[in-house]
Amino acid sequence: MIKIYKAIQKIPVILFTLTFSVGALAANPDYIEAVKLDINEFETKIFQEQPNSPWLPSGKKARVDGSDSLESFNDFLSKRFPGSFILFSKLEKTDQEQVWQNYVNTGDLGGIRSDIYTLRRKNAQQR
Amino acid sequence: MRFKVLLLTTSLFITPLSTTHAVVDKNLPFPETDQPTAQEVANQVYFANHFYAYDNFSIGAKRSRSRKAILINRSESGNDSTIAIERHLNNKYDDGVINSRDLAIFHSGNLKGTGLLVTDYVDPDKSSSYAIWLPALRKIRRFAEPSQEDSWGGSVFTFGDVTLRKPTDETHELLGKKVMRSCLGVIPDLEGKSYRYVRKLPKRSCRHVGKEVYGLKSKSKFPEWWYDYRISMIDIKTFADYRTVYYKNGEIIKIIDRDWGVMDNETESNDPRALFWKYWYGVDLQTGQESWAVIPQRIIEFNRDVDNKFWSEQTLRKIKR
Repeated sequence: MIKIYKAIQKIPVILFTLTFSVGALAANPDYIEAVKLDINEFETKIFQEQPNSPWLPSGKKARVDGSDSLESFNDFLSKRFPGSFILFSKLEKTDQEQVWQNYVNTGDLGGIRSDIYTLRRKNAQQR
Repeated sequence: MRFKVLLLTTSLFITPLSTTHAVVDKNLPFPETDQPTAQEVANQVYFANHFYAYDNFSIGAKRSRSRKAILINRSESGNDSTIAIERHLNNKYDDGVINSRDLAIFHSGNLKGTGLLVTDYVDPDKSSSYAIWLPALRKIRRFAEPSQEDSWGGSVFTFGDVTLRKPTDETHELLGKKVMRSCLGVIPDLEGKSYRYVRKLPKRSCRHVGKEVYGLKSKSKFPEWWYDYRISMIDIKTFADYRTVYYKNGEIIKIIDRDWGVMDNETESNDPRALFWKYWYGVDLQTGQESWAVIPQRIIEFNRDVDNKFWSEQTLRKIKR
């Protein structure tokens, strides 16, 4: 009975602590921890990989799909946007590189199609 | 109070242009050395943040009912408020008086139909001027420049954070270079969700992971300031400041993340500092407040063939309610 009574006495403290904790930190704690690890590396010169953190991907995983090279971009387009890939493959290589670089810089999937159409229109006007 | 909220809220979207002083030359060249000083890095970040690589830059010039830039503020209690904004900036002045002008129009909420024109002057001793169009009164009201430490109504950003802080307001120290390791922040439960004006909110940006960044530690010169120092992570190739972490008494008190994109393929100068941001995210660790500004790329236009007359009080008066 004494044990139960002591446990009941602790409930308000627990509830208060939980409430206080939730109210004081709305931001994702994993994100904040990732920021701390990242920024502290300037001082410690050490970074420990965190494979389970959704905020700390490895360098390879983090890169935008198909951005490593024009070849990988070709491959990415052919699988993901086959219709756009057909039009893209008909562009001159310099234009293809421009579409790829724009995607690397912006990560904007929607921009790929509009870039392709823009370049096709421009090339048609120049003929 | 409402006018102050309007003023504070608009500043985020007119940040780059509405500065107190023309303290950094609009023609600041890209550094020739790959080992710039801390002050040089600070100046370059200022250049990039104030869109000096462009003659003019617009968010929302393309007429679109469905697409707008938005600012979501999440309060400590978890309630969200959203403001939709259109914004136009102009750097192309050569009269020796005006440095730049910013024009912003609100499209939602209680401020719908309200416009704001900010003029920044070449004279470094002359403060910026603010003119607000009040649609209900059909009048323009003029305000003095706000204080740097003024915070936003419902936002985690201060005026200094988004517009007024100058490189000379702080002392700077380079902490070296490293690669960026972490993704930029978002409001997690809204990430990737459908949302009015932007159709879909972005997912956390991880595309800067692996990029080489400078660490720049900046200490405020103002006595008893709200932060002691801040550390920024700055792209060594573009001077885009992806993250700024603020410290007080040795503890992190605030984080601001900026998802920058590069447009150097299209600008005539091919300036790597010709940037645009896709979103800003901020969190105040002391209060738990979060703010998230999202800009759909499709509504961005730059270097348009527009007369300087567009940036005038006359344009404000033409805003439809």
